[in-house]
Amino acid sequence: MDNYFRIEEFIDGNLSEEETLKFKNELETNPILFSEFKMRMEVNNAIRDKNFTEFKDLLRTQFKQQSSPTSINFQKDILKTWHLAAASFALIVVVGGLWYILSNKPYSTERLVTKYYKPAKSILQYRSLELNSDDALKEAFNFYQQNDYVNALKYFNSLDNQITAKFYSGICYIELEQFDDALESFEFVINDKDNLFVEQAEWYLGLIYLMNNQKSQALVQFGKIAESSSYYAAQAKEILKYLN
Amino acid sequence: MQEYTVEEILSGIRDKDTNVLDFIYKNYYHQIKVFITQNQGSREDAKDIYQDAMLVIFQKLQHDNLKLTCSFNTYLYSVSRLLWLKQLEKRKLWKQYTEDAENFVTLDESILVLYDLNERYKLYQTHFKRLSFSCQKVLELFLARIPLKEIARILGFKSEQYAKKRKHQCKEKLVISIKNDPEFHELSRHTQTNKQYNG
Repeated sequence: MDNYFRIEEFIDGNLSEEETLKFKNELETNPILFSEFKMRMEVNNAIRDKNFTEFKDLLRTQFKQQSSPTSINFQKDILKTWHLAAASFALIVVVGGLWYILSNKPYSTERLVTKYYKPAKSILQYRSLELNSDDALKEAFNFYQQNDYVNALKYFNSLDNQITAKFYSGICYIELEQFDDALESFEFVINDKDNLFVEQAEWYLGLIYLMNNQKSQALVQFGKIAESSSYYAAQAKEILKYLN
Repeated sequence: MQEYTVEEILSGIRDKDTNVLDFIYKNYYHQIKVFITQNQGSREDAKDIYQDAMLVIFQKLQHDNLKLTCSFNTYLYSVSRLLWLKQLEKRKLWKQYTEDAENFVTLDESILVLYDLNERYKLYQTHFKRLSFSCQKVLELFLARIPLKEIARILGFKSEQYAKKRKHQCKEKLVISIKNDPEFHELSRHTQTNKQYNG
């Protein structure tokens, strides 16, 4: 096994216990190996860090807008990320439900909704037809990215119980205000346990309880998230503050 | 225009709130531009430094619990100033720097460490975007911890083993492309010889 391959196998957690121990010892004594390892880890983090990319793009967009004031509105429409556009759409869809729950709170409902509900980003952005990929999933994400949730759902649902499809079908159902179906999708993902979408599904489950005016279930759900090491723990605590 | 407290500004940066970002730009960018253009820099330099400073602050907010003991304006100016002094040193124009009259605070080492890291991230991402669509997707899905079996299914690969092989091929292609870029070696050299410019 060459050194580069060994580093990658270590990063990916594919080495045996004995090989891992040996590799760790070498890392401590071999600066060249350590430097290579560090660089490869950074590359992975750079690919993974979507926050960094989004913020960098936002700043660039801001300068473009400032240097061309007459086209601000036009550019805003075009250049704002899909994420923000989707959040705005979500605002319209769910504002009624959350407003009902939170109307006695002084905190701006608009800010709460934009802050706490955003449809999950597509994990794929198919722009090429050259791949021999799964047609149904490809079609589903194409529609999903166009906010065509009815058609996206048709394709997601055709994939039986595939986890990725199940998770995104849940988001489609939320967007279509079919909250009971959304609950079912997310519960399926959560019960599967061993997949990438569990934390997100738990979070959306809590939001659906809010939208459905099931305050006690929402309290339990966000309480569970707040006490866990979930990515959403801090946001769950904030929601609990408003609910209590 | 709406006014914001320091806490609201920091929280707005963390949340990528475009209203807050517009507020910062409209109120604080000018001062940074003046400092840079009076110290051997162009408007383009000022724009780059402002964005780099904001990116450093954003990253600091992601990793640390940033608490300011000065106004946000002073902090942003101090970060921008530090980054510009680093640039002047890199361009060997350090001696032509004229002391500025604006208030600035002494910053800890983490600012330059984050700046260097951001520069490397930008370089890595540039090379990543040059990979084929298929390679980008394999790496993205793999790093999102999607199981190999599912990656194979999503991308239409014949087997899990092939998905793993493709992941390795793509990663090696990316690493080689980065290492062949002279900027990568320049960045590595600068990281090792970082100086402090505070105060």
